[in-house]
Amino acid sequence: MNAKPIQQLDRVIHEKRRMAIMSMLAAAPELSFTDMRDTLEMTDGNLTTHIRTLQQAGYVAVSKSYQKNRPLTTCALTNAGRQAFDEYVGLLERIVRQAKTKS
Amino acid sequence: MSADWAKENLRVIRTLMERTTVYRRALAPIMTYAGVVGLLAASMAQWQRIRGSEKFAIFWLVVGLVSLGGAFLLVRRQAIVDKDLLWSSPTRRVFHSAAPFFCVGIFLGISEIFWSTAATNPLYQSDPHHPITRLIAIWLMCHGGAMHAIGFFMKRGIKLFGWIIIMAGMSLYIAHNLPFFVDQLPGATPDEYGHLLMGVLFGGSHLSYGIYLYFTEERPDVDEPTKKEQDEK
Repeated sequence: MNAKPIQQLDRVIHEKRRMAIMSMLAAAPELSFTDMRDTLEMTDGNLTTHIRTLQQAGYVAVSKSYQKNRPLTTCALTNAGRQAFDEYVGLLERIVRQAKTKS
Repeated sequence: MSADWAKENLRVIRTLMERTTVYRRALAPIMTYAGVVGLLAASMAQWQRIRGSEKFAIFWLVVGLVSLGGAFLLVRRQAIVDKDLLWSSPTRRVFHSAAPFFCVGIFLGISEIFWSTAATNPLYQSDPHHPITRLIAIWLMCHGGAMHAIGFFMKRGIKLFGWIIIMAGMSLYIAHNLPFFVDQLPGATPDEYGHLLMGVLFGGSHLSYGIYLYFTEERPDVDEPTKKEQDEK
């Protein structure tokens, strides 16, 4: 009974670091790479790897621009990403609810 | 077992979403600061015997501006500490959502200053008896509305806090129109308790909410990935 929602959890989001990235992006229209790196206390390489995974899944859009002559990388959730994140949160809530009704 | 990590994941998600924006991170100090300012101002007004609706409106509008100025400095300080943008897009949205309510409150306060005589004040024609209490009730409703609007961009009970302030304003509005309630008061008119009401309903409520936020603050618990997690990538 409980196994169903667990099996439905999105594997791409269901990783601690990627879930954290998705959570931050879900709360803001866009965030800079450095903001996310500093808040999550991740290394550049680590964050880049996870963002690339999310980008390949179509969940995150990355854009590069310049601010005060310095390169600025910003990330934002795509519509697919927002939908996937909402579904992921919905499933977690369902798991918690099911456990409550069981106990 | 699965419910535990699901709950933990939801907690991490909520905490990170809340921490994403400057105004959220500065919320606890802002609420505490506004509460302390409100209580100190109420004590000072009572001590200095600031009387009359005109002086009342001027005094509390100044207190409101001091609170807003202090809140701005706290957000600015937080933005500097976090190397964040002060006027970021989420902050702009928060400002725009609360601005109409604050404008109405300031307008009503100013109208009280310019039309303080009950007979000439077009806003109080229907109720010339307790203009101060009525102004407090309307300020409470405006402020509660602003808090509720801000609540759409952050969590942790600020919408509920807004509703509590709105309900307090509505209750006060009803109560000051009830002869039964007004007659029970030891003073001649409810307006005599204006500063006390402001201190308790604005200062006290903000201080309580600020303390609540401090004690329920949760830090994100996102550890460095383990070697296994790295391999899974």
